[in-house]
Amino acid sequence: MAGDLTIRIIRNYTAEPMAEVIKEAAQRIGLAVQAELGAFDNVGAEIAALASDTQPPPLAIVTIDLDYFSGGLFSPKWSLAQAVNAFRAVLAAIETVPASCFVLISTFLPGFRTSLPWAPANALLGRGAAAFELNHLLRAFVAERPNRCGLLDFERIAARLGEAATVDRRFGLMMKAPFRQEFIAAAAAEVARILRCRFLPPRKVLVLDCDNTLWGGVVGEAGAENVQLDPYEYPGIAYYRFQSEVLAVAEKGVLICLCSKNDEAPVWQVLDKHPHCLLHRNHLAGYRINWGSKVANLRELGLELNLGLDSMVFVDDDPAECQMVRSQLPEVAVLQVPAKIYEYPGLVERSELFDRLSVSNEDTERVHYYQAEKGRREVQKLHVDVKSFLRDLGMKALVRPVQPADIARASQLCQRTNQFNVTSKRYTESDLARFLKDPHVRMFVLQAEDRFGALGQSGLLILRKLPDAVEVDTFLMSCRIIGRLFDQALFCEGLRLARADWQFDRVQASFVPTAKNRIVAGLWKDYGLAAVEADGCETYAGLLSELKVSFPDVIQRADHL
Amino acid sequence: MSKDEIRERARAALATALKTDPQAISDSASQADLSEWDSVRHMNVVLALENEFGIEFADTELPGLTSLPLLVSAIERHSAA
Repeated sequence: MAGDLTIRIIRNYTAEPMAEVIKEAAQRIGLAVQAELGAFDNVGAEIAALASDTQPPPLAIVTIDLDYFSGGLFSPKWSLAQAVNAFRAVLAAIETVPASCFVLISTFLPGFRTSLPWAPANALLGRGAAAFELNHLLRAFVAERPNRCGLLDFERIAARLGEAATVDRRFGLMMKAPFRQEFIAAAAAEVARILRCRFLPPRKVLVLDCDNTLWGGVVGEAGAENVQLDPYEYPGIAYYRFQSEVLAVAEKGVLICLCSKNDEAPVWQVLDKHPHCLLHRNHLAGYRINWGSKVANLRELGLELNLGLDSMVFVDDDPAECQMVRSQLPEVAVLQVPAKIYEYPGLVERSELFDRLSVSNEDTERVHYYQAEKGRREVQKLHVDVKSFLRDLGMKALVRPVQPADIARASQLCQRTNQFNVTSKRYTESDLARFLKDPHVRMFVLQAEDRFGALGQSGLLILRKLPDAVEVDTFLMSCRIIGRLFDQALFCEGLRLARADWQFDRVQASFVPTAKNRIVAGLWKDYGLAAVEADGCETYAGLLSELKVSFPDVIQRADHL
Repeated sequence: MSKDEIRERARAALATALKTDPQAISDSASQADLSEWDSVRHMNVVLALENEFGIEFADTELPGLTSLPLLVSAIERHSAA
């Protein structure tokens, strides 16, 4: 994504070095970032200014050093009660920041040393307890606002790096710059992770080799009962822990696939029968277990799942296989099983490739949609003509206005949908929350189902009222239902519902080409709209009466699903 | 280590810390001539030179390290010790 992103940094210490390193960290993931620093030690006023900003930046960082907060930690007048009140006031001010600005708030660093190391944090006196008290408040505040605020967890970073790499005593006292370069680099890397989640497309599929990746040993030689996977033995425990990590990733909505040079039968024997195998057949969205090339197999899996190679992460123990995939499919992220097998658990987590800002219900259900899709393909093989195939699927569609509870999923669709997406506008949850209140915007979500199961919320239509027409701002369909005429159902029903509120007889739409959305290049012409003159993008328009699209007769209108 | 050698290594480290071209830093370059060299960047300058030469300046020296010649003499003092 091009164009400069602005980050506002509100601070009460010298955060200039951090601002610079954040820019560099963002650049490394391909994002151009401008970091604006608020006036020194003017946190309250800076947050108020951010709150009244009509065009706030998409990301702000509020970072407070306890030493200089609330009159200064070392002033004789300092009190814990006052510091808590002052921090509550900061949080109350953050509450008023517009939702389109995501606010990261840094945690406070407790002292590395205390003369009461055996006392629980809440039993420490005054200054010693301050960081714990304030962090407690902060964590509760952020937990209630998952889509608006996040932690920039200095405490965790300091725990990882240790005191020597965290605290700069010299420049802390001389320049109010309390952090060492190592700490600043680690904090900037955390900011870059957030930026990646918010502004770059996510990885969606984890493709796993089997032998010496899901378990220790070669199943074809040792037999299913002899592979190393026992959590009470080493190295079995390393593979067991890795599998448990795979399941945790799957729960975030990542699809799991196998790609292994093996015969199928022994692999299924482990997955179905091994007492310690956590990964089962029903966790899989797809698999290629054969003796063919992994490069070809990965390509096929991409086609089968309708997902690009750039959304894949591949794990294998064989350096040659890893190298082959890296060189032939550079879009695929490759993780090699470490030679020191005790380093294996946590491999995926450490890669940060499946970081997510938040997790929706759709995420946890995703694998079932893909499994049902396999069933549909079987039916398709039985039918010669498309119409009878579609009729046989028993499709149902519910098109309804987007409600606040749908925002997380709707935003996810905006962020992730690459193929059937006419304008590819990457709206965030806060953008959509704003549209919900805008009288000139109507948003409709498609919920679909067929005889193989629920297809979930898989389409979004955003309409905007112009003086003389209605403009299609966004029109997208999740790739799992492309080619099933659901788009026509959403489009027609959305327009029909919008006409209940608005008077219009003309529709205007555009197509913004990207590397991946050729599939909808001809959509508006097919729908009966005509190309009109416009600079920069392909714009189409037409009267409602001229539309060549209607609610498909192979789809049943549902009142609820 | 000769004075010239120290100066060249110091110039390179200074340029990196200020994110500028070594050629833009003359033999007599000072904080007054280089707009990049503000009080915040001065921390980077100090850290970069300490790293480069494996030394640690005294706190009382830091405010006085305001030009390449002054840096070079301070480094000489520390390297001799």
